[in-house]
Amino acid sequence: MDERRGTPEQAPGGTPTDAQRMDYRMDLLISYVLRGGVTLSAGLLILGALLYYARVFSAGTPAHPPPFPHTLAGVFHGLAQGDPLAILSLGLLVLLLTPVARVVVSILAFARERDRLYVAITTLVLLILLVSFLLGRGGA
Amino acid sequence: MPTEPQLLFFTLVLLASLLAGFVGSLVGIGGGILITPVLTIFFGVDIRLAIGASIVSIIATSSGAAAAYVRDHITNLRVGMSMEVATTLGAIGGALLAAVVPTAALYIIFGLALAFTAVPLIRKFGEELPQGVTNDLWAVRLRLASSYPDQRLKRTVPYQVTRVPLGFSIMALAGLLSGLLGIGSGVFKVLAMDTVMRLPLKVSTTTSNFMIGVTAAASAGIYFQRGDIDPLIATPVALGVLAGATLGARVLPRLSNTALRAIFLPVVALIALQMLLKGFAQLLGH
Repeated sequence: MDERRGTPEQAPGGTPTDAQRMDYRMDLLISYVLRGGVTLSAGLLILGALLYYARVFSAGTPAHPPPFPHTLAGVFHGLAQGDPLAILSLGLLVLLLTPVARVVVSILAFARERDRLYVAITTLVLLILLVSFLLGRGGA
Repeated sequence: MPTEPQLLFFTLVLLASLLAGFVGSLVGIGGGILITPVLTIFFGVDIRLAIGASIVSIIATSSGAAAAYVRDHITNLRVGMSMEVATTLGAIGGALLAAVVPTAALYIIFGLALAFTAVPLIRKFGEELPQGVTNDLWAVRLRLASSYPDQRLKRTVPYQVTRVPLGFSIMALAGLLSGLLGIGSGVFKVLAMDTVMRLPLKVSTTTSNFMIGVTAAASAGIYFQRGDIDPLIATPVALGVLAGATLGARVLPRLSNTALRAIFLPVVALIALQMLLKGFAQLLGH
């Protein structure tokens, strides 16, 4: 077996290399971003669901399914009016943007580690994502 | 009184999503395969809104599970990020081609492709770790070789990575597929890493988990603005999937790669079957 990355016992308890330390730092940072996005989103979703169903419970189910905001402006307008559906949409938006936030943060983190190759790779991924958003808006 | 069906819907969708998130977080897929049919068949949800909810489920599985897998150093970030170039490019290509390519043929082609990949998977049954893999040129350049702590084997497992260009091409195909059909991209990502690039299975499924969120995010904006993401449907999906994925991420480190493969193989077979059925149904429907 080829084990050129050190003995198996090394990484958790032994003396990790600089590269390993860098990888571990990166792992923790990315994990924080994902956890933060997920926690914020879940909090908003739980809050919005409680408010929405409390309202339904006291006022009864609306005859027609209520319209929900699906633009940024619509979401913020709804939030200002205390619409529980807007809180839910915001929670979902936070969830949908979490992977994008993760890409942005990894660019910064690779830059801090002076890892130019991976700054380039992750920037490329972000650019492709942006292009896809623009294409989507164009109705493609 | 009329509140009850709504709360029942919320609870049942939450439970189904919990299961989808659990399985998805183990095998590296988004759970859309389960969410979409459950919503459309059992709850009569419009297919458009069901697909919107499945995009939410993919991102919830990805972010929920990857938060734990990345922290536990199982995910290979460099493999994930390098391969995201291929999947996002593929997704754009797929979205652009969606209008001109007949989806029935696609479902059948990819269903067959998936059925064929089950063959090398069966041959690999019982393999705990890939043996005799040496880095190719691209793996060295991109520093893809790494190691992961295996709780089950109670040691850190170093591994190398091979056939990166072929893996990259299959990743582009996986992205194309998700852009065109909106589903099935996770399973091809796992296959690219497991069968082609020869990463350990746990690393393959967790890295796929990490990546599917970004592939889905590429189209999520479009679905959101089109109004396909109905909060009353997507909320129980998101919450259920997040809970399931968190649970799955606690279980995976304790599983052996062999056991994980025993879960993965039937999932591959089911997805292949579902794609073939969909393709033939569309073909006959026209």
